Amino acid sequence: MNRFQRLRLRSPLALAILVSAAALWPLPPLATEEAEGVSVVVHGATKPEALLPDGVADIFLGNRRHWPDGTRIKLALLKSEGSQKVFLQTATGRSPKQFWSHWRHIVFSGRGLMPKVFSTEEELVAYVAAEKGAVGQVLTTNQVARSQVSVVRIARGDDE
Amino acid sequence: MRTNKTFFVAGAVLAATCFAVSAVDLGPVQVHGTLSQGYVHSTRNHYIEDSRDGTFDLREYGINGTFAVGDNVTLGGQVFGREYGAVGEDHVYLDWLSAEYAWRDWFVLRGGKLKVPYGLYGETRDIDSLRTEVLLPQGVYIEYIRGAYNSAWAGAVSGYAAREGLGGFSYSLQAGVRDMDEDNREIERVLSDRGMDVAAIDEDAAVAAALTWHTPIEGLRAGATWSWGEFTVAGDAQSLLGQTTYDADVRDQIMAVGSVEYLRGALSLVSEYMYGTFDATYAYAPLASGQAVPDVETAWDYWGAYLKVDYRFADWLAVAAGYSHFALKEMMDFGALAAATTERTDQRDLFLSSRFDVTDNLILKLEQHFVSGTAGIFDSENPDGVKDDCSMTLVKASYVF
Repeated sequence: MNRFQRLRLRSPLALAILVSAAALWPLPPLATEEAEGVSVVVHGATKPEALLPDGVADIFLGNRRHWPDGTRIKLALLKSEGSQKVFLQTATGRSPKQFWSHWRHIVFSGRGLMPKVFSTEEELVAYVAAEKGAVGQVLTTNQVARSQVSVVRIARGDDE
Repeated sequence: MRTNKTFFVAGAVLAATCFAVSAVDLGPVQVHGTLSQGYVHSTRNHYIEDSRDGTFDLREYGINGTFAVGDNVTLGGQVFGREYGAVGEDHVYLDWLSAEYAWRDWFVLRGGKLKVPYGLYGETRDIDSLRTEVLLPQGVYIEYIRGAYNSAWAGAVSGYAAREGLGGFSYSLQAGVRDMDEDNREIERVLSDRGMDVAAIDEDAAVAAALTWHTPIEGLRAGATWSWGEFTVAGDAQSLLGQTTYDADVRDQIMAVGSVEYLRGALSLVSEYMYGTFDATYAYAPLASGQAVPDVETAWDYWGAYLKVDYRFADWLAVAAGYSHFALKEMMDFGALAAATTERTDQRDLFLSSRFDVTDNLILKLEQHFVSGTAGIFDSENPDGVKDDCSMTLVKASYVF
């Protein structure tokens, strides 16, 4: 029995072990902030109810690309890795690596435009306020005091 | 010549890394690109041309621009070049070019040169940075017939709709004419074992469809793609009776893929099954002596499947392991020259991949394959004979912005 015959015989077993090990491997805990939910800010012309009923996950994953009134959805995220991780896991159930990989699939197949990334929350809110159809993550809802935007609190698995 | 190209591309990868290129955002225009360079070494067989000696002929590079016009119109295009052993030839081509009008999320019209939907990852198979492994599982994403179903000049209607409790559904229906590039030598590589070269490819009508169900179970999606097309190939050939020219009529080329993907935290499980079939008639011109050469009828069917486990241990490290199987059956009828024969061959591939994210844009990969079976390994690239099994090591660096 040569090396490859041995390998072929053992490969289903090896694969089963790999699958089991991967499935049983302790998954990284979701961020504690998740339980408290995260917030998004939307342009003032967009009714916050427009985030319903399909949920923010569909919006931030690019499945939904238009608001009910036909306005193009423009996504905005913060550059900070920590806050982005909490937001994306809560809003989309994906890690930043998975999220950006998903968007690269869209961009490199010509199916959409990548979300914009901002260094500060102030810049992001200013963008959302200026761009009709824009929606972005925010950290500190009490600091978002612009009349041109609305803030919506969301929680994992909760579209409200 | 090839060595010079290799060093040029390797140097470009290094330069891009050094200058840390970022995505370019020119107001409504977004520009993204990718550049990757790999090294392949195989044992016993040349898995790709010259791989037994070690080869750098494994690379991709491309750049795209996308432009949003108002709320409904999106324009974009991508140019691409690649080298995969004897295939690609660093021939830079228009990969896709699209004009899209999105009336509603559930009704989007697209026209232009579009990628043909194929499995979960077919439309972005050339973008190395989107996955852990270097080679997509060859049981389904067969490299050597990639050119026959990669893109089409077509019109398409697509969309997405969600229903509470049912999840979301995305669909795509596409009709047009495939775009098969004879300059990249993909079809020629397939025909090389029959002593044929390719002078011209003429594509006929093609259609494709895709349906993906984003299930209510978070992270679970299932999908199916189907495509049909026909084309003709012409060139010089060494027939059973002597040197001549040929016209190959490829009919009813059908490829169908069923897919399931589950993402849970850092874990990803994927399995896909592919089935394909086509018929071909090789019509030969008479020999120089005037002797007629009978047509050869062939009927192919093939299937493939894989299971892959992917786990991200840290932001900088992901590991994938999988098992892939491809099986091919070809029935040939040489008319008066020989009785119908059947040949069957397959390829089983156990692979282990590791991916190191040096930065968000720079990725290094190390991958090992244990290959058993001879499907996809060419006599023309292994003049001293094809062995029943081989192993292969791949190293690759990719930059994406």
